[in-house]
Amino acid sequence: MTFDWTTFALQLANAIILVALLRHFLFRPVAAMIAARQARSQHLLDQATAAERAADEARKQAEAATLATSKARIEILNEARTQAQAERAALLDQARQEAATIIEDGRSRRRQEAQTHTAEAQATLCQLATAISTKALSAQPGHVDGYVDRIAQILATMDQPDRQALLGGGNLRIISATDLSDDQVQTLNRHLGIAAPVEIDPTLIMGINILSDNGILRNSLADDLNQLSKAMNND
Amino acid sequence: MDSPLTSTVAFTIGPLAIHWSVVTTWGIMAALALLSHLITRRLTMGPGRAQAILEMLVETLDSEITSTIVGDPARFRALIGTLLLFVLTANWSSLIPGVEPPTAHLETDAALAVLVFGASVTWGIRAKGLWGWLSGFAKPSWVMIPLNLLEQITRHFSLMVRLFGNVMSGVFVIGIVLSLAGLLVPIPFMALDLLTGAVQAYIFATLALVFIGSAVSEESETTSQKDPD
Repeated sequence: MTFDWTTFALQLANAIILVALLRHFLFRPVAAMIAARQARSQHLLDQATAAERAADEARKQAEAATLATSKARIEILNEARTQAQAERAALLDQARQEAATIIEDGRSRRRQEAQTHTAEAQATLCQLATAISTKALSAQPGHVDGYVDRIAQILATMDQPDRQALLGGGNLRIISATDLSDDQVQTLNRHLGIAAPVEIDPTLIMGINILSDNGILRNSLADDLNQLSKAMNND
Repeated sequence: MDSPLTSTVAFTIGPLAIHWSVVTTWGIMAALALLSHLITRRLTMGPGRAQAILEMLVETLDSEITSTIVGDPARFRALIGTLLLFVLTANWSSLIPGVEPPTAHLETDAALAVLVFGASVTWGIRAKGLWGWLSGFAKPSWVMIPLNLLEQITRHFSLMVRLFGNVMSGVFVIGIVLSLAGLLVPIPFMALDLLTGAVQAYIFATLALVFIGSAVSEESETTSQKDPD
């Protein structure tokens, strides 16, 4: 076994040269490619992180926008509610004013109508009073003797029982609106068949009534007016 | 087959005798460099099979270096990777008929061991400074200086002898069996020699890494004590 120093030196040089060759042709390019791939992966990772961050930012912005929209919606709703309340109050006031105006107009119209009706009623009443008066007055004899004659006529045409009931009652008396003359009193007593006292009652207005405890023979303007009034009320 | 203990001259250049181990080394160098160039000239982001194997080799190397030495693995990658690939290729070159592995000759192993020794000294001085590197021999006590100096020599010497012994013995055994039993009988021994060659390549590269690591960092001192010899 020998040790050749020349071969040793050559092998040492060869080893050094091989290290240089493989560093240049193998390890450096492959390591550079690995580093490039890692850099690319890191770049993609950074991009993904940036995209994630951007997406997160966009999400936050969207949430902020949603919150702002919600706030704006609430503000708009509140404003609309306030406006609606104001408009409602204004409409209510306007309606109240219009209602008051309408009511006032109604009242005014009602007053006018009432006045008109009152005037018309008064006119009708006047006409009616005139008619009643005319009718009542037209049925009156026009003087005291006429009332005396009409009593005589009524007594003459009255049914016998009614006549006896009237005249046979006690406390028979003659009620007159005005004073009667002696002739007129005698005429009446003659038709009555008895001397009845005479009483003066101005509420009869005009005419003479025969009154006893059993009944009354009406022959006055007041009674005629009263009958007309009852007849009208019944209508 | 000649005895691996003898070195045959292939040719001479003037007074310089070039042995077959050197010629084989040149062939291995050319093959590794050419193959590397062919693969790495068209590197792409989407690697093919060959590129993927090379990237896996580089990443494994970086991982091994990082597990042993703190810091950037790039400065040690070329040396450790070259040692691994060269020793592996040289060991497996015995499968080619008529080729004798260069690592079966003591000069080649000595050159590799001296290269590792020079690298550990150079990077140790670069990392700790000359005084810091020298003071490392006085740890844990100045009494240990002779022993530490002797250790520096012996562990690199053992590195050389281990590789030489294993590869040379394999070549020897295959040669003896081949001469005695014929063509097919040595095949199992050759397969075993493949495994031995791979293991020795890994051990050589790993020990070189540990030696360099112990030189450049205090923390790696304990790791360097794991020398199997």
